[in-house]
Amino acid sequence: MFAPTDFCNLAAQLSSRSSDEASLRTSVSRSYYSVFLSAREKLDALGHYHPKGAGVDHSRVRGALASIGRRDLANKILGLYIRRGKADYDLNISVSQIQAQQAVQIANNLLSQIPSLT
Amino acid sequence: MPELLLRDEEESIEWQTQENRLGRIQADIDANVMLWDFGYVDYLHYFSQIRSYMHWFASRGEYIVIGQPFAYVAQFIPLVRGQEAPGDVLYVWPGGGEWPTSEQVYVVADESPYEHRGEALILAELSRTTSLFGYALPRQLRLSIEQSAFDLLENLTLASITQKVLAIIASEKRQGGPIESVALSSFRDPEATDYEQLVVTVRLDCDSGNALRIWDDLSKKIESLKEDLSQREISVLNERLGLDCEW
Repeated sequence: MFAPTDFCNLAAQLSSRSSDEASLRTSVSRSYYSVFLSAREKLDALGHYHPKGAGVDHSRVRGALASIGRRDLANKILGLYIRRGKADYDLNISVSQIQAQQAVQIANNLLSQIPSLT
Repeated sequence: MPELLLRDEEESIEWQTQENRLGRIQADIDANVMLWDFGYVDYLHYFSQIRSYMHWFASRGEYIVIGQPFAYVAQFIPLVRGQEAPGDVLYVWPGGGEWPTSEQVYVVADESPYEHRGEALILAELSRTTSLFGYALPRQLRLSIEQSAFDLLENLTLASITQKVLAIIASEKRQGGPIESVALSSFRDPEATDYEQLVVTVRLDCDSGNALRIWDDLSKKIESLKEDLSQREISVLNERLGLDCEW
């Protein structure tokens, strides 16, 4: 099975390309998905949330984390989700290298905690 | 609530919220001072009504709005001791939920040393948390609220929870947290268009390591609110309110 954390490795590589906004936007997006998919799989394995395979999974993964007392993870995933939405859909903004690197930092912070969820 | 010194031609408007809280506006026409005492949630909920009243008074030429809740005190026209204030003034500030600290208060005076049209400004204590002495209190948070957020805050449960969250953030700031500003906005899920939630975005002045730590601290303090919330309120907190941090 593909390891979602590999998306974060790719995000880190892409965030080093300061002049290429397409790479920076993709970096933010991959940072988010590395976390979302990791959290989704972990929550499913623990029985806290069974994915629907649809767009609602994004909000319900966060809701499931909040309901088990991990609001800290839910809020940071929300922060990444907001950033990812802007990077993927908002053509009227610029995504900077700093923003992409921050997204990687947030993702790494989350990925270090998701495996220990109970 | 202590009595305000009232003059003739007083206008008083009272109403009750769904949660049976009273809000009151008193206009003292003779003294040309309008006083409001609202907590965050009252202000958030009745912002549109407050704004219309402020515009009405300003349009009559009798009042100059020199400050609004959540506005920088530095933007106020300074009143010099013993000198007449430039024009009519309108003071508006939130009641808040905390005692103002000495860092937040520019003037503390029992005898109101400032004058307006040759008369001492009315000094009155409106609530246990607010002292009025002719200045609006500097806001604890640089708070901005998007119009879309006001629509969400029509839900009084969400507004009440938001007030608690803002109080947590304000407390963090008073304790020296590097909080620059706070914004309330509505977030619509791009992947599920029928899902919308209120997002509280805290702007921090620090590095990434500290930002992530503060983000966690605030989240955990918000989580602890659950101890005093009903199941319905917890559901709203889990599903309809999120905390984002930027730095």
